[in-house]
Amino acid sequence: MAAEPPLTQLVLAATSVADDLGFVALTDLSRALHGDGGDRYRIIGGHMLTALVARWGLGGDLYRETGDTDLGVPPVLVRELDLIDRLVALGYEQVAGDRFARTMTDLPVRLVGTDEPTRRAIIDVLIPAYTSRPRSNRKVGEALVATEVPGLATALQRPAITMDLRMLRLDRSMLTATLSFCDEVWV
Amino acid sequence: MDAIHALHEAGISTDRLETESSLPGSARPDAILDVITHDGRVRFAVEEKRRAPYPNEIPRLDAMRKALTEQGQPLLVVPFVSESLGLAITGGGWSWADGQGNFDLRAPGLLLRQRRTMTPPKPRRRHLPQGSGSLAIIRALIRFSSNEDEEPSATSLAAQAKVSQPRVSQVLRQLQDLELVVKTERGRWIPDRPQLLDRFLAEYPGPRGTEWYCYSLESPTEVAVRAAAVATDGQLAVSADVGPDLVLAWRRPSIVILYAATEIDIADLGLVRAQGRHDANVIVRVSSDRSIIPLPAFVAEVEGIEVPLADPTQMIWDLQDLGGADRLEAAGMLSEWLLNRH
Repeated sequence: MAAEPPLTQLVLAATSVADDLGFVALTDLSRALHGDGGDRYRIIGGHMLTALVARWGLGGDLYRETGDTDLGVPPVLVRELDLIDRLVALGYEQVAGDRFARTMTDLPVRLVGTDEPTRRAIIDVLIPAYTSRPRSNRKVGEALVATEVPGLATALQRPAITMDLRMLRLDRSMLTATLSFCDEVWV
Repeated sequence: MDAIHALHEAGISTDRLETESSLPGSARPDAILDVITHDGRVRFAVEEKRRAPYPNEIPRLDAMRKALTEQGQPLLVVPFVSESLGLAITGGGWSWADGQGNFDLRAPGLLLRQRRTMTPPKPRRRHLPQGSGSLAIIRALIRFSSNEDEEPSATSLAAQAKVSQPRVSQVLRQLQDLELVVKTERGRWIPDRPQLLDRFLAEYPGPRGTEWYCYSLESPTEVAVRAAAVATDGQLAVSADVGPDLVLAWRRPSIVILYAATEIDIADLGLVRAQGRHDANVIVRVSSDRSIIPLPAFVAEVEGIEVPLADPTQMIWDLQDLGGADRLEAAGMLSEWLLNRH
């Protein structure tokens, strides 16, 4: 018998390069955060919407991943976990104040007869706005210059939706991740 | 500066001051502008650009913005800023003003905003030459890579565009009048590729021809790969959203536009007719514009299957035409890749 929504375990299949790169970023975030991070962070943005749509079985037409995976995390957790160092250890390089990218070369897609563009899994590290005037250049620690997200502080106070993800990449390999998302009320 | 004139028209008093010439180039603003308020003066350090940045280019202006902050509130002045771009520029920590009288000036204790027009200005000069052959020449000039050994010649362009050499020369002269190409002493042509791309995107009349709205239970990428597997050479080209995803992935494709040289049987591709654009995830177009399918072919390989792609300029136009913030961002990234690739 099929599981009834809301689901806590999702199986997602990549149908595009954007999906594939997003799955890599989600897996890497799970490795960087799961356990030590508890549920004190949230995946937000397009990947959150996709996960919540899948959790409620609303149909793939509503999936909305973009090339960047947005992590909402309090500054204290960034420092406590040495999050930036963890991302660097996973192969990410900082390409902007809050953006980390890992070059991927194992995709089963290539351009013929022209220079191959660099394909990268991208993680944006965003922090909560604790005032009514969110800033786009808040320095956190030595390396991170993050954007403040209005409402994220509220989301972090609400119960997290923690889900186990199994993600099928384009090359048919399976990735797994356990991650906490904002709940539907916040969305 | 048209932007200053617009501020004055809006009843805002300003003083334009001399810039400090001893500053290094990166930190030297194009102008210093004092906005006079009831409480005193707010100083803006102006960076003027010939074209507005794409949203994804804004973070790269951050170093410049920080340098300008030493002189005043950073203010970006460009020819035109759309509503969505304005939000992105403001989000990047800039104030902005454009030549159409729109502005958003922010500083502690100051917020001045005006939106006069939502649409970009019409080009002042004549239009680009149109028609399949002319468009093929323009697309070839935009594709021209900056590190190629030689600038394109009329002969090489004629071969790429499949038009006669006299017609190429005629089109190049028209583009020269529009200051979009420059002729070298050796008789070759140097294109102003960013300007050509902007003009193409603004003036392209669309693919025309016939189109069918269809629906598939498969993903747009699977439909594109299936179509490519059965297509003959030069008869099919895949455009947005799938084409850009295969080149420079940014958003999950939710639709695919297939350009076919002749009518194709949609049932062979497992497609059914949709009611309209709103419920279609596949659009099949048979266009009279032959320049959509590029020469030489632009091909992506997906799990061993060659998928012919539409000309990059067409993919960018289609992304913009389909619309949505994510697609506009993808269009910006693809434009940047096209103009900067080696």
